[in-house]
Amino acid sequence: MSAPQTHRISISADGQRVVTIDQIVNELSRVWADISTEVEQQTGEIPIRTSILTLIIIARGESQIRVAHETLHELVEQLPSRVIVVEVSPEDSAFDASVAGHCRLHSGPRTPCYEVIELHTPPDRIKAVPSLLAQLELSGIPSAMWWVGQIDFEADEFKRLAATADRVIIDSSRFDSALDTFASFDSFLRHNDSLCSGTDLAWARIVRWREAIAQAFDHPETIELLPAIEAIEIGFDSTAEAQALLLLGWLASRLKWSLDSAQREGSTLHIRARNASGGPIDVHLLRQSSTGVGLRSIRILAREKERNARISVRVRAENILVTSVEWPGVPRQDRVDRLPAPRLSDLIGQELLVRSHDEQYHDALAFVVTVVAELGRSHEAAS
Amino acid sequence: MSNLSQTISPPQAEPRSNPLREGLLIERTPAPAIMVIFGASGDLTRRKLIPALYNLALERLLPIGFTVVGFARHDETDESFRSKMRDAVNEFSRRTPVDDAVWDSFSQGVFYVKGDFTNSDDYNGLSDRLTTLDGQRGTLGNRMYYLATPPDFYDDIIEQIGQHDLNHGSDNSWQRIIVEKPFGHDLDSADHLNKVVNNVFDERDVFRIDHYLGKETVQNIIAFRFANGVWEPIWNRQYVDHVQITVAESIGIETRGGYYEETGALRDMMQNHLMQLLTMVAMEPPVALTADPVRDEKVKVLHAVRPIDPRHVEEFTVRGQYTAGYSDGEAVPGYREEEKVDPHSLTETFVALKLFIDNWRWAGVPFYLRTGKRMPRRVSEIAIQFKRAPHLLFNADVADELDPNVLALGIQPNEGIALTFGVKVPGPMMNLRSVHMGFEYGTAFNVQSPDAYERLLLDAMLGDSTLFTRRDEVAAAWNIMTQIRAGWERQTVDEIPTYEAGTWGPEDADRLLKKDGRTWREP
Repeated sequence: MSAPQTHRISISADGQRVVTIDQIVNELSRVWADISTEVEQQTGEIPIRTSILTLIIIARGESQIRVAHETLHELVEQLPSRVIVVEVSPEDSAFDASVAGHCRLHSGPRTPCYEVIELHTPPDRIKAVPSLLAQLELSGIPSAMWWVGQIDFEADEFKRLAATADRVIIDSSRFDSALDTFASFDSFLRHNDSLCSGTDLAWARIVRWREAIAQAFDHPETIELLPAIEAIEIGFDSTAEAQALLLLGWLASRLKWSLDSAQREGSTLHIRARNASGGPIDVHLLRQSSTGVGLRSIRILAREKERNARISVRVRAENILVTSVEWPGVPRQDRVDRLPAPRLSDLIGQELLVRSHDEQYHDALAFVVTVVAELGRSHEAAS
Repeated sequence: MSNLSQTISPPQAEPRSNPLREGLLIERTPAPAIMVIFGASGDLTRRKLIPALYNLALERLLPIGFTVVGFARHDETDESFRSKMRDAVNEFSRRTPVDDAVWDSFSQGVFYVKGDFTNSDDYNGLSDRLTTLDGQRGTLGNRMYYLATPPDFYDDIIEQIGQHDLNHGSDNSWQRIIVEKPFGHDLDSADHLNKVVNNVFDERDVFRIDHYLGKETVQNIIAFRFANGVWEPIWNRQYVDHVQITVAESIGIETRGGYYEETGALRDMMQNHLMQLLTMVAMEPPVALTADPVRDEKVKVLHAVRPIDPRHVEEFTVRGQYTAGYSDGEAVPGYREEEKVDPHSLTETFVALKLFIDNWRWAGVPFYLRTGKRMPRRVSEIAIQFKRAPHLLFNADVADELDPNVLALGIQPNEGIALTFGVKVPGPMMNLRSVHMGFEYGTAFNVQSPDAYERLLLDAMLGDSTLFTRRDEVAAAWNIMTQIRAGWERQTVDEIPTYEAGTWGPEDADRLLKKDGRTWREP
């Protein structure tokens, strides 16, 4: 496999004038003409560009910009796209743009190609960016906007930029205090329901857990006990409280539970909910001192008269996820799956593959927002 | 006479839906079951079945408690069978090396029962083992039997399953059977096998496998036709000049001389793979993408294929046999020099057909189908050639430069879709040139497609027979082939047209199209 074919041409702003769309489009055409010639000479084939979405990345400062670039190349090889990276640089930097085309030459017939447009802007010029994005997005296919870092959901800048995309992807694990921002994001999604949808990479990080739990309840013996869940214990790494809450929010919203109470005691969150029939459910979220960045385990007890089932999903050493199911009369069944440490590109790619309006996430988030509000109330009452 | 009527089975009770599945990419996994593989020591088990099951385990698509029982004549223990299957996965899986943790978990559910396919006592042993495993693995009496044996054993195995009541279980359990091709060798034998299998299994529990239908690109024919409004209005006799379907192999018969002598290209490829492609491309939109509506439409196509009168078989068919030549730069022997092949064999290694589908959509449109061994390359393609524009505004020299519009659906190895159309060459003159606009799966989705067996095994476990061949479909396809064979047998020839290995078939194949003013594509 040879290296990607990359052509980079910078387009500087003319004095105070903002870089024009014509400049960017013309440079892009030149880049592709050069690349086509080069690839044809090397492989005898004309490279084929296929785009299935426009991906816009918003990155502020050096470290976010580095994360954005490390991730985008892995991502667009899975999902060929036009990528527009909005790089918000220091105050005194110039407003300019650069374009690049990439074709990875495989030994086989596949030559995936994609293009990257970088818009470099100082903070005071970011107001001009939405007007460029609106014209640079490929027509007729979806657009998604990934914010690499912390977001102020109330800021005009966020609202104007987010309005240019069909889907907003945040990563609450990068926020200073994820729980405090959930309500704002939930509110934003509710108010823009018809314009765009949203998701959180913390939600993407628990997909494998959701799959494992759902599969444990696929069994004809256990599915009958779904309405009879009465206790849940979730263990999580110290930085993964948002994931634990979203997992609970997912179970609660899918199974139509309502919240009774929530309070924090040291490293444990005690939550009491009611199922659709009014039966109580005790939930314990246990913060562990482990240094990982995810969930550690979930244990579910479901009981109805003589029947009961115990289901657990837990991380074993070396990225192994073990799902265990027990019900009367049959020895415990274990299943082992590989749980690779997810790359950001895998998480984003996974989210982009699901349908654009992720109702399950919105519902889970709404439940989490009620838990966070209840925690605030109980904290105030205690103090 | 074949019974082409179709038995419609009452619908099976839908499993209770799992609200936790909503929004997940994996919509549901099958109920826990035991898959019994008859012929567990054979090549199919090693090369395809166990690697496919392992890949499903890797993808977390198998249910907790899923169990495999291999049944064959060889002496094996559970442990030795697991060890051999692990080696097979390492050699043939699309994902290697084997993941120790996942394999160990999966292989805890792999067992072996030694038995003779014709010995009743051995089925008692099998039955006892299955009952024990139900208790240990929570598999609830669900069974999926897979016939991975030579077809000579199908009758015996199916009858033994019935005699030992292995086709029945507790309430709410299911018992299904997957039958590998060839499903019979002519209409009578297919009818016989249908009767044998339907004496023991309800038609809804019979899954006749044609691995071509498990290919992503074959399923994409349905997506391409019915997800895009632009094609349907022109997908008919008004706009289509003709259709070419090519399934070419560059390999010879390898070690299968004995089998191939009895089979030939018509039975080995045309009756199943090419007929499946024909039905997918020619069928009417089904009312739903579920098993019976899709298969109803496919069967209608086969019933609409104009029968080839055995007396006029030479007008519509060409057969051929390869002689020595070159393949991939290597000298290769002719068919008659291959192992276990009669030096005077008249078995066809190439066949081309010209078929008409007598319905409103396709009346008068020829479908040219060809398949052969030792052709220049391995390629499968469906090409829809459209009629030329009714009146060309350009002078004759310019117009001659233009190829007709062709929509080519690549099945393998070039998985994609290409459209040929004419454009103006830049410059002051009105010069035209045909250009090719292509879409390749690899450039749009840089992910590895699952093997056809993975998809088909999973569908069978889920009870979805959309991608499997129904009884009347098999019979209808054999009906067409049997008439062709009858015509060939009438010819009483002592020679068969030949083609040099590494070429696109005998000259007669070119003449079949040339007399219609057309030529074969070179895909």
